[in-house]
Amino acid sequence: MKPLPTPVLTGNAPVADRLREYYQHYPFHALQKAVTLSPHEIITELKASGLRGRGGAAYPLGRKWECVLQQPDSVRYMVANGEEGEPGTFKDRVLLERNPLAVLEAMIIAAYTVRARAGYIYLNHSYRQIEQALQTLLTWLREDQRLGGNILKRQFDFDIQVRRGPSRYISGEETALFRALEGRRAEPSSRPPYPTEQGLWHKPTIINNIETLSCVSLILEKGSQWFTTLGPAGSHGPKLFCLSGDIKNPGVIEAAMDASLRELIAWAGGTIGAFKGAMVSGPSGQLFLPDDLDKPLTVQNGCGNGTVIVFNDTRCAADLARHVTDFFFTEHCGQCLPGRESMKQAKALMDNLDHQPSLAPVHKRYGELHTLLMNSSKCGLCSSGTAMAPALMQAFPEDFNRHMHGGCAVCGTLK
Amino acid sequence: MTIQTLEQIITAHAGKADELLVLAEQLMDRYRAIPTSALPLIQQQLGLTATEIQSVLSFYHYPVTDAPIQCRVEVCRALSCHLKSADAVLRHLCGAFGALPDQVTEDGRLLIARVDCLSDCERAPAVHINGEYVAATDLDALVKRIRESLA
Repeated sequence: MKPLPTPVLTGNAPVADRLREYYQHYPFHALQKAVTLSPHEIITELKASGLRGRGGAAYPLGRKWECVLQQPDSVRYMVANGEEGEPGTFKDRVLLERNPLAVLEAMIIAAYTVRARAGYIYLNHSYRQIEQALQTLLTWLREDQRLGGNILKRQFDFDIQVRRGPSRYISGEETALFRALEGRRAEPSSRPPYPTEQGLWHKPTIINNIETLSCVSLILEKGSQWFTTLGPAGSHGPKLFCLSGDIKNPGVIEAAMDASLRELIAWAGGTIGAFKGAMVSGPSGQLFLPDDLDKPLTVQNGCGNGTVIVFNDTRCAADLARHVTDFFFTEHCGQCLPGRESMKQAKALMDNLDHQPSLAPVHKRYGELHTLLMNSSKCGLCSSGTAMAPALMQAFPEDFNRHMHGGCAVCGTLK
Repeated sequence: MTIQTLEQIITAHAGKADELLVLAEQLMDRYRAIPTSALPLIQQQLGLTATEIQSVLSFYHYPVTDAPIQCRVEVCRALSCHLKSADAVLRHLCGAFGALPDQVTEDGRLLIARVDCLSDCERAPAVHINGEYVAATDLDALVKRIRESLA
């Protein structure tokens, strides 16, 4: 196994300094092909590719588009989610720096497929330069009738607005993102109804991650059969992995999803120090331990959004658990009672860790809070955010016990 | 900051309550804070109540100040940056300028904010000064850069 010899998603160098040249040479093959197909043919091709969402939830893309197409309401929206608030995630930024037209092209294809007339790209608040580049590209697309009225003389109208949002982790949750686009607090909504039925402005909405959309352009250009040659069943196509933390060469690696964590780390130059663990799909994802190093990072194994935060054996797991808990306490929206109260209790557990007599009751209570959130919170963010700390307690009890009995030299809390 | 410029920015969104966040980001780009004097104008032009505006601005932790902030420093505290000593960077900067995290300094010119997450994880610890990434590997150089933007 090696990283893809010729990266297909991130093959370009950053395009900021040569935007006009990049635009003029962009082939628009996928769009040209798409407008010769019917919406059902496009969806069939996407379904055949097996493409699943790259934002973390891994929902099959073809099914999502089909759901929107089947809605009786004729007003539909297309939204590209570039909020990218999960710690350790920066792949969408890299994609938008290197090949933004693949995303815009896929949005136009999506609009053509489900007859959406308006689209939005929601960006992380720090992506100012990307926003400017996208605005320029949108102007050129309108001038060339690839956007606006009667696109490519195919009698469909569609336009895109770029919205750079404020910094809140919760804004990346798709129903919360709709509220942010509507100028409101980014508070998630209960499901059902799903965004495909009632999304932005309560209208049927396709919402896809930036990387997912880049894959759409590839599939229509190269064919679904080509796409399925990469990666195992259920995890087809190229995937971007973001490596950070205690790693020698942090950055984005493009690989098929049969790559193992050991291989990804090796391609990134190796771990700084001895590998202790990694948070795969970020702090809301799964804890990978040394025994998991050879597991392929497939959808089934929890690769999620492809984030890999590596930590070495000098790190204290209690410090990581406290940090993760603080993060989700600060960033949860506070809207629903289970989320609000459980996050408060989880933070109190970690804040008082050094004064607890033993780890077992802390671990048990934290696990109960996680279960409660799984069963009763309004969205999945608080529940996924409370999975990592108990996993760290389970894997590294000695780190937590050290805090309770004499203090921790790593964290500077020796008594 | 002139009233005319503020008016121009806000009236471009007249009648569009859904553009409150777009407007807020424009004001942040220009003034690095939401000017207090903008609030009644936003209320009037976008057709929102004061409560609705404050509810949204406070949810997203926008700083609301009487005068523009000259230098806004964002220190990412998310996990990848935490592993690369973001806490030490924050302490150093706050110590160098006598500032408290997330609070505008008494002279109203500097805000050192803790943020999650700047998505610059491969260049951790990530620090942005007035929206631009600055490497935080040399803390003295970072302090110098902030002093220059305050000059």
